[in-house]
Parts: sequence; C-alpha cells; structure tokens
Amino acid sequence: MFLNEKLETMDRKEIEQIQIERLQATLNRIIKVIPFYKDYFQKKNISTEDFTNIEDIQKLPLITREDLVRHHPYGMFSVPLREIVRIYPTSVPFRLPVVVGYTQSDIIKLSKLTARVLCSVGVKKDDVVLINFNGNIINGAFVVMYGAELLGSSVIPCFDSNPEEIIDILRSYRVTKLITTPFNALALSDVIEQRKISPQDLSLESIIVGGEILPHYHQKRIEETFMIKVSEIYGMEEIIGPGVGGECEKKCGIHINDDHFIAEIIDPKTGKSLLEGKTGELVLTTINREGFPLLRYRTGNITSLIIEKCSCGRNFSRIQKILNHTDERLIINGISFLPKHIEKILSSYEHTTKNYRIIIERANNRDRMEIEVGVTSELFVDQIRKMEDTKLNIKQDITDNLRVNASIRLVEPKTIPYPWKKETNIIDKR
Amino acid sequence: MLYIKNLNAFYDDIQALRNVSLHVKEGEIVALIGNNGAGKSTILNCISRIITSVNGSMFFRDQDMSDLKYNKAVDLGIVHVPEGRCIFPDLSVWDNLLLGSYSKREKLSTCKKNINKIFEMLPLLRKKKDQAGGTLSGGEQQILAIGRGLMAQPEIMLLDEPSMGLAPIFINDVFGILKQLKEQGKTILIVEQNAQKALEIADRAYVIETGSIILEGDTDELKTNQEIKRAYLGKGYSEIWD
Ligand SMILES: Nc1ncnc2c1ncn2[C@@H]1O[C@H](COP(=O)(O)OP(=O)(O)OP(=O)(O)O)[C@@H](O)[C@H]1O
Ligand SMILES: [Mg+2]
Ligand SMILES: [Zn+2]
Repeated sequence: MFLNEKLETMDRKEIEQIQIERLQATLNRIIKVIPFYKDYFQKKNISTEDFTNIEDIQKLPLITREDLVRHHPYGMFSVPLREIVRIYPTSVPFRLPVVVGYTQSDIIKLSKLTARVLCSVGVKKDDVVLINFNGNIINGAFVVMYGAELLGSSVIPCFDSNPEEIIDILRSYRVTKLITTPFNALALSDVIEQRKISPQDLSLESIIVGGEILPHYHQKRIEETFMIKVSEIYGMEEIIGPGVGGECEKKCGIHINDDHFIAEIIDPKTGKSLLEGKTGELVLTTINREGFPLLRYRTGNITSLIIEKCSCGRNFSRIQKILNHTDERLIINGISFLPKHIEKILSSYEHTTKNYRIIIERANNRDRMEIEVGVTSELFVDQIRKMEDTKLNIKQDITDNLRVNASIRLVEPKTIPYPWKKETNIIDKR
Repeated sequence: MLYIKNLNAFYDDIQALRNVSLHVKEGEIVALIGNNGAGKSTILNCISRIITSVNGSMFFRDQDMSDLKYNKAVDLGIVHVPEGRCIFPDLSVWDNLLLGSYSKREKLSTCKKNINKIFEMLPLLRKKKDQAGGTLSGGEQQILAIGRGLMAQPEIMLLDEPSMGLAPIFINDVFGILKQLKEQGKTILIVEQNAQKALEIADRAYVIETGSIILEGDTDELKTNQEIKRAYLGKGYSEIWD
C-alpha cells in the first residue's frame, strides 16, 4: 500500500534527480557550518561544485559511529541548537554515546516517512496499532508512533510493559497490528505458548518488527506461534529510527526511501564501493535532514542492494534481509551482543584464561547458549565450592550486563583453540 | 517535466549560479525563494533562454534545451512573465493580451477565443479591456501580465516576483489568481520575495543563497524552518528566535 502513490512509484530518472538535488543542497548547507567537512574539503582541495552526480558521493569520507563519538555532542550538528527541537542521546552497552538532533521540519519529515513505511508494510487507518518498544530504541518508538498517528491508526503506545501485559492488551483492545522488536516478539511467543493462548483469540493481522536483526529461525518461530506473517521495517537510531525503509507486500527485500537516503554497499575491509548485487556493508547518506545530516554513514549491516522495479510498483532500491553485522554480533533469543563483551566480563575473573568458546543451540524453540571458559589449574585443585561460585558469578555478570542467559562450563584451557576466532570459537548449531 | 542539473551561469567573470539542480513536475507549483541577488531571476532567464551562455543540462519533456536559440523556450510552451510587469502602457488591455499570443502566430479568430477564455478566468480584465495598460493599477497590471502569459497557452509559466511593488490588497488579488491557476492544474515556477505568500500556494520550494541551492522541500516542511523564517519571511520572526 502507498501513502503517496505518485511519489513512491516515481521512476529512476526522477529519483536520481531528487537525489542529486538534495545531496548538493545538503553539501551547500553543511560546508559552511560543520568544521569537520570544512576541514576535509580544504585538505582534499575539493569544493561542493565537484559534486555533479551521485557517484561523486564517493569523494566524501566514510563516517563511523566512532567519528560521531569523537565529535560528541554537537560537533556534527548543522544548525544552531536553538533550532533543534529534540535531542536524543543514543547509547548502547559498552559503547560511548552519540547524540542526534532534530529540527521541527525534521520531525515532520520523519513522521511522513515513517507513515509511508508503515503503509508499505500494511498498516492502515482503521488498524488498532500497539507499539511496544523499550530500552535503547525509545526514540524509534516515538517516530513510529508519530507515523502511525499520521496514518490515522488508533495507536496504543506501550513503552515499558512486560509480555504478559502486552498479551492482555492485544486481547482486550482487539489490536490488529503489533509493532515491536524481534526480542519482544519472541518473548510474547513464549507467553502465548505458556498460557496456551490460541492465536485465533487475538485480532492480530500481522506483526511488524524492527530495531535488530531478525534471523530466519526467529521469524519462523514468531510466525508459527501467532499464525500470521512478520514484516520488517528498517532504520537505526543514528539516522531516524525505523523510517529508512520497509518491506512491501511482495516481501522481496526492504525498500529504501531513495528520496531521503542514498544507499551504497562497500567492502567493509577496504571501504571500496561494490557493484549492485554484491554483498557488503550498507552505507547510508541522509539527503533531507537539517539538524543532523549524516553522510556516508557505515551502518555495519551486511546486505546487498538491488536496483530494479519491484512488482509492487516501486522503483526504490531494495536491500536483502539483513542477517549479519560487521561487528560479528551474536543474537540469542532476540538480544544481540558482541563476543568481545563476554571476553571483557571473563577477563575480570581471577582464574580465567583467554580461551573460551560459545556454543549455541536451539531446543524447544529457544536459543541456548553455553560458554566454555578456560580456567587455570589452580582453580581446579581448589575446592568445588569456589568453582561453583565462579560459575554462578560469571553467569550473573553476563545476565546483568548483556541481558542474555548462558550456562557456564569451566574447562581446561588447552581444550579450546586460541587465539580467538569466530569460525572455531563460536559453534552455532541453529 | 522540467529537469535542470548542474546549471552554471556567468555574467562576464561573475558566476551567478553554481551547480543549480532543480525540477518541476507537471501540475506542480514550485517556488524559488532567496535574498536579493541570490540568482532567482537568473534561473528563470536561463530557462526561458534569455541567458544562453550557460553550462549544465536542461530538459523539458525529454527535450534537450541546450540547443534552443535566444528567447525560443516559448516554442516549447515555456512562458516567462518577467519582473516588473512589462506591459505596453499605451496599448489597451485587449491589445496587450493579443500580443501575448503573437509569438505563436495564431489565427486572429483563435486569439479572440483565447482572450475570451482569459476573460472568464480573470473577469477584471474584461471590465477594463479597452483601458490603456498604463492606466491600470499595479495589481491590475500584474494580472494583465499574467493574462498575457496565459495567452500563449503555456505548458509551464515562469513568474518573477508577481507581488513586487504591490500594496497588500493587490498582492492578495494576484495570489488569488495564482490559486485559481493551481486548481486548474497549471504548472508554475514562481520567484518571490514574499516567501510567506509563495509558500502558501506552492507545493514545493527551493531556497537559493548566493547562486547555490541550500534547501529544498515540501512547503509544509519548509514553513517550520527557522532559518527561512528569519531570512525570508520577514522581521517579526527574527525577534522571536534570535
Ligand atoms: N546583467 C547582469 N550583469 C552582471 N551581473 C548581473 C546581471 N544580472 C544579474 N547579475 C548579478 O547576478 C546575481 C544574481 O542576480 P539575480 O537578478 O538573478 O538575483 P535575484 O535573486 O533575482 O535578486 P532580486 O531578488 O534582487 O531580484 C547578482 O549578484 C546580480 O548582481
Ligand atoms: Mg530577481
Ligand atoms: Zn516492492
């Protein structure tokens, strides 16, 4: 479905015209006010006039989250603070915060854009929409709420409810569309199963998830429990939340809103641009943002780009379902974390070595993670009591810091290959 | 309909436009706003081919405009109503209108029919059809200039500051007529000092600053932009925001 069919089905020629116009306007704006770009242009001896077609975007530097951290808080803002109406600090466990700013017109644009994305995944005016986000994607939740309200849907925002409460709300208010994270959707699946609720008792027509990678086996689990389809919307906190793109009813990839973003795929190792269809890291450029424009931002998401007309009528480019991230994150029951965070926790214990191994399996529709931790022989000769304590403490530490459950097994270090490599030290049986 | 990419224009050594890219779709009203000397009129002059020494690409309905001779854009249906009205003060309203279709070398009977259509749209002109152009009020002269532009049955109209020098009451008249044209689905690229008025009737707008486009967007988005308010929508706003 379309919010504005004419706009969303415009041909590539029009899309490219809009992209170059907006890229040029963005550059003309930021070059005067963001010292980072002023310096870069000076150093490279280039000017805004060197940008006459979309490919020229490669003359700009790639930006990482670390760059944003370096210019934290306001170094990459392109308008004075008095014109910013929303300041949103994003923080991820173990990572330094970056802050995003929106002007009034950014907020209007985001709302329209998110309404468009929701429309494409099937949200309608007469839907009752439950929005359930929490933790570090509260801003995304607001954006989705604005978008759904703009569509005219009846929105129920639930930002901090537990799965039990959500199920009750789904039932009592005859919710037709649920918008949430993969993690929450999995937790709801558990409740449905435990309480033996029949999905027919719900009025739910589809579940829309965003905010994190949704592996096939998790999607399958949610779809089987609720007996309805799951659709994905895409975006990230540094950009605008879930308005970057979404699936259409043909479900053949995620359409990127090309009139607001320029998408590129690069080789994550070399930073070189890759040809259409090749798999690599998605890089996004906002071309219609005032407060906090991001140019060539490395999303870390691994995917490929297709630029051809979709049978839904859109000419917007599509990315394939995202299944990987450059940081090699692991996803357990919908929660993502980095192995190096486990390493950091383990290294704070007295008798641990650098050798460890993660084993992941699926049983009873749940992910189970076991961590084999290499410990020095002193611990083995010590009393059993101390070994048990260490295990319990590590387990608790991991749950507290990463929100995931793990069972811990202490082993002799030589049984685990070292140095640590993903291929040999993560055994993912899913 | 009209696609412009990387337009550069020069007056001798002075570069008046730098990589200007813009487009106008059929049925759209697009406003160009910006300070004095920003290059707004220059853009219109490039499109109507009054300025021909330019580089960049200009396409109108898939036709490359770069080969068009001086002032020949009108052959494609591009009609330019320049700044300052430029009507013939000694000729009657009727004759002024007739001259509007002269460039198309139409038969007199067709012209008459067209003038009657204009009269239906702009009844004021019918009332004053025998009056000399120079004796009309400023607002009436502006309406006559628009009427004359319409005589050429334009595919797209380029209007340069139709409200310039007009008292507020006449400005409303002129914009009332633009609103009518919009409802009839006419395509218009309008340059305005009166950004507030322009944003009211336009679908989209471009903001130009010293020869470069710095902002583009739907007018409902641009209206909230504080920078625009401060710079182009008049003084009242700067007091609130500075
Ligand atoms: N014939 C000319 N010869 C030399 N320079 C010119 C000529 N016409 C315009 N310019 C210069 O080109 C720049 C753009 O002028 P232009 O008339 O397009 O601005 P504008 O945005 O229409 O301004 P205004 O709001 O005052 O009408 C200005 O610096 C102007 O002085
Ligand atoms: Mg002018
Ligand atoms: Zn599609």
